[in-house]
Amino acid sequence: MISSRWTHAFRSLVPAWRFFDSIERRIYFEVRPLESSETGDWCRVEPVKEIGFRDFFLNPEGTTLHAFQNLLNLAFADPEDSRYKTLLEGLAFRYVQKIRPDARGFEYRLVEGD
Amino acid sequence: MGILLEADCWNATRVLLGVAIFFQSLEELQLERGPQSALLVSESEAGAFFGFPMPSLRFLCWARFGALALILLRPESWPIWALLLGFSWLRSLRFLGSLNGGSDALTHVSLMGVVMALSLGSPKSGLYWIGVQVILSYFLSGLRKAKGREWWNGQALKAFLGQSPVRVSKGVRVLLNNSQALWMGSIAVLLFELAFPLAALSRSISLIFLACGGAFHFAVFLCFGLNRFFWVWLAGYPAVYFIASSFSR
Repeated sequence: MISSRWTHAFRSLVPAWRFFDSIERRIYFEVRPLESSETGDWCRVEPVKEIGFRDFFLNPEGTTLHAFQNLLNLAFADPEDSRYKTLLEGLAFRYVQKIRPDARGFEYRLVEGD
Repeated sequence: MGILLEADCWNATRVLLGVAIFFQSLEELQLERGPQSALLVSESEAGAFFGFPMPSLRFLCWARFGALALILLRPESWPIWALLLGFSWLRSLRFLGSLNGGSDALTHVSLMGVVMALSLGSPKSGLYWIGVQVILSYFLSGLRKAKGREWWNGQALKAFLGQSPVRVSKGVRVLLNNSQALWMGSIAVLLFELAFPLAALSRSISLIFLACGGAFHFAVFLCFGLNRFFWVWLAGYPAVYFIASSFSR
């Protein structure tokens, strides 16, 4: 049996029938920084950005969000796989540290879009 | 517009594919800047996932620039194109199999077409491979949409636009509140995708579909920020035109 990580490794080499497989409901990753004595509000880890002319050629922020979305889809599709859980926890920790260096800790959850 | 010959389509495909990969690589050199870079899987995390050390993103970007430079010197050398395919695939592995979804897939499938054509000494085979993949990419996507009711009543388009990670323009926001416009937009996307195989019937029909396709991908960029899709699908369009030319001969 081929392990799922090798399925992922070759999924960008398969022909047309997989090109648009991500057209499904979106999954959001939400974090809630924990303050000293209370919990904050859940917020989506996805900074909404303004599109400009330069982005038509080079859009590193958009591509990063797309890559993160791919990972969320994988994690949501296989919630029992602890590797994705570990990866998401690591990414969330790094991201929260960058955007909220004052937060003492955080919780996270995956939410399916409307 | 004059009729493009097989050699023109073949050259245009390779030039546009090279341009698309150049921009992809340049963009990836900038991925590790800014706070959003924390959302990217690191080299060590990807290495641990697959169980072997992963080359750095910087190395993979420069390796692709190097391969592109070699291609400028030796455009007919299939091993160099195969090397470019290998580096592109490794880049995808670096992000657990896919960095940019469908645009990665079409980049790789197009590179496979170029490698196959050059190694067999038959540009036609590569153009047919790439052209068929582009046609199927629209048609199968349309078929998938057509199976549900949400695309027929406009709800799916509303949901997608509402979930966009980019701040959409005022015009798009107006569209979100106009159910009739949403319905018309949904039907237009469905019909365009389902009818795309008709582009193979003649040169003039293919030009109409390719113009609509360009507009479609530009709209996708404006609404979702997916710039890479525009460039790599554009690289596949000469192959679709070539298929149309061979049918209408």
